[in-house]
Amino acid sequence: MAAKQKYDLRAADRKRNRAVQIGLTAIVVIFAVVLVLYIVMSADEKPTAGEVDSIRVTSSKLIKKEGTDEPKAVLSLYEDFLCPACGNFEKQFGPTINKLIDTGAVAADYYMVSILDRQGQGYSTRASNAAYCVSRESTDAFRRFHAQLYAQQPQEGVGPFPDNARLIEIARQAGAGGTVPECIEKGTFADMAEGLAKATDVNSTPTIRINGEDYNPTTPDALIAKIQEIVGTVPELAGPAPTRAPEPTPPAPGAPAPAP
Amino acid sequence: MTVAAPNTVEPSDSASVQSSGAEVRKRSAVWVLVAGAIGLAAALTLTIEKIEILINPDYVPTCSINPVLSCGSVMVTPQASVFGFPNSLIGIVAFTVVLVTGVLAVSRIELPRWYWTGLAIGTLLGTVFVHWLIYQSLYSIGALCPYCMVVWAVTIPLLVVVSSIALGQATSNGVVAFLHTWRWSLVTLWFTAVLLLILVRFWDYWSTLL
Repeated sequence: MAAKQKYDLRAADRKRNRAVQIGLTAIVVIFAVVLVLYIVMSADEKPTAGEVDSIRVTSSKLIKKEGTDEPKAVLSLYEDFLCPACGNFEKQFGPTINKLIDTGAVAADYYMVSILDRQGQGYSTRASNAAYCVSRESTDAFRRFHAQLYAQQPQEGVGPFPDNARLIEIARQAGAGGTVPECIEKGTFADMAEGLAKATDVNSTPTIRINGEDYNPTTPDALIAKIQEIVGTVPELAGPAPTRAPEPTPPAPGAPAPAP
Repeated sequence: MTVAAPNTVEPSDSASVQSSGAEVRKRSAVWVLVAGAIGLAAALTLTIEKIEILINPDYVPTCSINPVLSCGSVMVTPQASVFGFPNSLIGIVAFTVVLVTGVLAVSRIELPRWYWTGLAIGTLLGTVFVHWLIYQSLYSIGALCPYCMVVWAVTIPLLVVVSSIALGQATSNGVVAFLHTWRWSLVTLWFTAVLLLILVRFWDYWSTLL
């Protein structure tokens, strides 16, 4: 009988000890899970300076190296959204490049670098980041966004420089919603954009490379000729370049923004 | 004692039998039985899948669900046959022993302490092996094989249960007592740690599923 009572006492003791154990263990587990999730999520898809990522724009007609999925001609464009020369380049060559992409003659790799932050209150990095954000959502939206940012390019060193809210609005008009606003606000690609010029060995913009080799563009026709040297004759390239290639169908600018 | 079987090899007086045999609580006995059954089922499935692959190299195992959860790619690696034959064969032998032990323990047939000690040492070796496999799976092979993970998950609690039985009253010693008191917490933390390692290692893939 005495032994039985003693047993009961110890059982109560054990019960309390067990509650303490479970509690402590739960705290440690929850803490570990939350900590790891937090680290993993916040580091998620945030490329750092030194990483190189391009925005590849192709069409379904892309001419490929025989037997592979590799494009025959890769046209790499290193641009800063604030650089006046890039704005001019876009005006002069933009339609031609669009035509080269749409006919499948080239795969275009856009590297939106940021080298003019000091002349634009950080606009270069923000615009570049926004472009990467948009491109992750849709390549077509990126093309419209890219064209639109150059169409309303602020003057270097003068401004006014579009803020993030404005960039989000332009992205929305280009057809990119989803997580793009968040991505633009958070500057997910900002670190990468800042390190991109150095990482790709670019010291002036625009820099054009064809299959990795520097190319100095003179006229749109010369560019077309150069590309045709690589991929062969593309009949569709003969026609006149469209003034503003793939006609975007953005929602009317005045349309009410969809609720986020 | 309901079982009136000739359960003791040395039928001396009952008091000495009580001390020579290891005391097994009902819950522990069931644990051993269940762990043995699950482990054996997993090892058997793995072996059968392995044979299917050998018969037909294009066979897609039932556990190849996605790029990360895929036993097909894991089973053909050298790590899956460390000793020159499929690891799952070891599993079949080992878990059969565990299963039989579980049956005996559930039937309240007393087994000598040295037997449990031997099983504990065997389980410990299995645990070491499992950790090596976890490391290889995560960081060398880069894929997870669901049936193998079942074996991982079974082995750790089994080690705890079997070594508790083997140690019996010897758990009053400082470090051992501490480990014994916190054994289920340690198991929980172990599971958490492995799951988090998996989460982090394959985060690139998991995040695409979100």
